[in-house]
Amino acid sequence: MVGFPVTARVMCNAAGPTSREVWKTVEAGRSGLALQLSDVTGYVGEFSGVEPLPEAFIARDSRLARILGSAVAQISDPIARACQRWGSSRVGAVLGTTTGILAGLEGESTGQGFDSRHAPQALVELLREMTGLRGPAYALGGGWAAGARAFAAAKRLLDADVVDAVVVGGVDSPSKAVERLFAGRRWLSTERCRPFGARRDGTSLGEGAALILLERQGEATVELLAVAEARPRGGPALEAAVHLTAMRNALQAGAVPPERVGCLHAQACGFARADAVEAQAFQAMFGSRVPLLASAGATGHLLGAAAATGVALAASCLEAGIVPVSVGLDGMRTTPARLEGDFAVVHAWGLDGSAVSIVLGVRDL
Amino acid sequence: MTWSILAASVWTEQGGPPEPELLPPDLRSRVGRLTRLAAHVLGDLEQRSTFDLRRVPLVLGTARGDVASASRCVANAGIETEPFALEQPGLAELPAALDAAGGRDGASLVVSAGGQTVPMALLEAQLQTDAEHPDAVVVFVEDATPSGLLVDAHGALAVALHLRSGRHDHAPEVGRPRWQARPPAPSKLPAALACNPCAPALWLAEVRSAGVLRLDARAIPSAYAWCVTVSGPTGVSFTRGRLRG
Repeated sequence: MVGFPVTARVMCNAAGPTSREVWKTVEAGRSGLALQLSDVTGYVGEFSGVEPLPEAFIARDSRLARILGSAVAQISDPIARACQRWGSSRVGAVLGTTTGILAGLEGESTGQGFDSRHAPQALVELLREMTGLRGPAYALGGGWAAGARAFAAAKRLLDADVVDAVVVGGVDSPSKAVERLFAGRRWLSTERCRPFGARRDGTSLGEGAALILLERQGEATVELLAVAEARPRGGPALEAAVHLTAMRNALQAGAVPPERVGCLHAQACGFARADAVEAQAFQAMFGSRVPLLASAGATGHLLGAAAATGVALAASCLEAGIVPVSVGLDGMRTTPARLEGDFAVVHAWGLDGSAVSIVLGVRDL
Repeated sequence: MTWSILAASVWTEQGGPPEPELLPPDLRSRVGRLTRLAAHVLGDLEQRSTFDLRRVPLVLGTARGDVASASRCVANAGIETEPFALEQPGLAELPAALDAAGGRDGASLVVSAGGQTVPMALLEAQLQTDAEHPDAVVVFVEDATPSGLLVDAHGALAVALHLRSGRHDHAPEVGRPRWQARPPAPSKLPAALACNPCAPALWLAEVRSAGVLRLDARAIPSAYAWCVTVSGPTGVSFTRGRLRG
């Protein structure tokens, strides 16, 4: 099994404007969620560290672009080095996003520069322009799991030797329409969301971005080993068997025995049934042995950015040798667990019942 | 490795309203027009093919997604006039609706890359095939320019292609998209579709159905472009590129 080293990573969201600060918040078991008083009252994970785009990129300005820009600015040097090393046309990008169109349409600039600012490719173009990468680059849609599917697409690009490096990740910000939809469906938590918590009553929406630089070779402590997806047969349905299939196939593809997995990152974001289905699959696959981290209680549900944020946090767990407490998971452990194993599984799922598992490992140096 | 186009289906405005019979009746009236267009060509492609296309990966290429439905979603947020669209806003509705149609169990996703949507979706579809699973379906769909958006006006277009890796008799072969730092060869498209980001897919379908290029051409200068080479059944090679961004 060929792994692709994670040579750089960045995340920014309500838990912090940099990877270091997000990790500090998550490690300490704190939450970045705050009460929002508006037409949709509830706890949200607003990324308060958003900076305006540099003047050169003002034509791409939007809330989503600013969030992405904040992330890109922190990883532009490693990307520039990758472009220099491999050639800019051998460095690609795949981004997952879900509600960009809606957020753009809600802005004061509806109709103004839609393609350059609000259409999905505007984000990819911004990434290209800020970094100079010139390889294949595209946005993936298709629901919350799009951010996780981006990792499968990135790995395919590397496996097929189309690129030598790829920036993969996600960026999202919930539009007002999505907030109202969630509120109308009673999907929003009345408190900070409690992934897997006994008193969970819905999710809290968040915004943020996470980007991972994968290279064919390079100095790194963590590598991406495998990605696998499973889908329910016969239409949308939440089934533990689908989660299990995705995890089993990913571990098999990465040649990783389940007993060597030391950390799980769950997408669980406070939904009563969906969290239970995900937990059921983890239990069947790993029993209660492997400590898990569900970060939505700290960041909010990051939609298309959730999987990449999970990958960045799981990489931090592998490096730090601990798995922090999950905010909202009351009644469980109250201190970080010691990581026992060289591998992590990042799990994601979509409303259509599809599930995606990403396997990371500590590199043999 | 080469990829052959085994079947193609095209819908344009001249074909009348889309007939998304692939979608279950209860879903048909609730999804947006973009999904209906995609279902029309996908259903037509499945009828033309002897192969069970519901079991193969499906890649959907669209530059803007369903802007019209998304606009209604924004305007009607909280009002359940289009429950399906509200649950699956923006780019998410397409694969969810098509997966719900006819019990698809092949993986599906939406690729969006502006003027490079066609080569990127082709690339993604090609990368999802291997010797053991050589088939993929790619559906390109772009609605007419929504009113109020300040972009170049164009008509609607939907194209579905059945790709299979390897060489097959009498089938045009599609090379992997390549990136080049020089202008593409001049090309032409029907005027109404010239600015449609998915228009190059029409060219691929034409090659499949006619074996010859029947499109008119319009030169598009660009300092950076992609190209897809198609070897037609007559043995003639064509290269087609499109402006970036």
